[in-house]
Amino acid sequence: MKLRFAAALLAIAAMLCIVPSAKASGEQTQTITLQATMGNALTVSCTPTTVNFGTVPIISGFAAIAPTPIQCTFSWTVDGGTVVNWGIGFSSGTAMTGAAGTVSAANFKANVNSTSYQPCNANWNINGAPMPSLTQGDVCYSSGNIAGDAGSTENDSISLEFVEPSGLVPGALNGSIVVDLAYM
Amino acid sequence: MKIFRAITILMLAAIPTFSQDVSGVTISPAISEATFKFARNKTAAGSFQIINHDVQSISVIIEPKTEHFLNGSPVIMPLPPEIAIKLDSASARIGPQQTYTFNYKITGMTQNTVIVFVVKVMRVARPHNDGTSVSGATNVTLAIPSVLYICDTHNCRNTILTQAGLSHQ
Repeated sequence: MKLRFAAALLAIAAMLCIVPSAKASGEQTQTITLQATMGNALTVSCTPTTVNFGTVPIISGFAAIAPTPIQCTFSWTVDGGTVVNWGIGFSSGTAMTGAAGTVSAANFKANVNSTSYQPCNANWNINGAPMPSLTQGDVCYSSGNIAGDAGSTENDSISLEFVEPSGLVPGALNGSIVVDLAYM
Repeated sequence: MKIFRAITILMLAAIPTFSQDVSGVTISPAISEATFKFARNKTAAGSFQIINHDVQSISVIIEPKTEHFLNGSPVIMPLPPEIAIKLDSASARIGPQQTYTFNYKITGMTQNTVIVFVVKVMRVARPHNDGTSVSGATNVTLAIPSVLYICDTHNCRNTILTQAGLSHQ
């Protein structure tokens, strides 16, 4: 009796083991672990992590300037022979409104590797193709093209400057500045 | 004792203020490609890592999207209804000098696909009370993608970019 009961339990257990995690349609689901064929890593560091227009701003009438530029550096390691075109841009993130007014993304400027500041250009592209937008809201991109990193670590320094020449008054600003990286 | 106090004071003075903290983050891999035999009943599983190099914790949110190429232009778009991505966690708080691995499973792919995991790294802004009328601080958020190319053949990334009329050089 005990043997029969044990055998029945074993049979049921065996059935449970071989019955796949089937969908209602009866298909057997297989999970395949992707075997990535590229080795790379990207490190980004931006400072400062917050911008306070109340500490050391230049407030004249309705103008306010961020106290320091947002400086981002990044390093990139890739497998030999890998070439990547990439760029950096930033948006106003969530709506930057509040008692201090509205911040326009069109007033961002950037320089790459200590070159001259240039206004962000929404038409920045790779080989004629606009870089993808990663966030909602107003977006602008660095007019510099950081391209052609292959098989080495490079450090490109991007300095982002934010200026709102009009429309800002002393007060709290809600929202965020989003530093976007885009690459293919 | 006096020397110890002096050294301690110097060390405390060298600690940067919050607004000057460096938010160093590593994403790995930033770009990857994989071969996968498309079938309705197959799930693709993978992972990527976020490393927090900072001395403070960071908050991370993952937003999966797809990338398409329209007339030679890359466009980031929301996931189509037929593709489902399951993350073991869609957000995380990563401690100082810690590494966090996000695991994912993708179902519903029937053709070459580019998945973009947009990683948003955020810091909490602390208000300043410095005597001026501006009491808030504006966050600087990093949006770093992990781009995944999936094809049923090898050299997936090159294949997709070439088909889109884009050179990756």
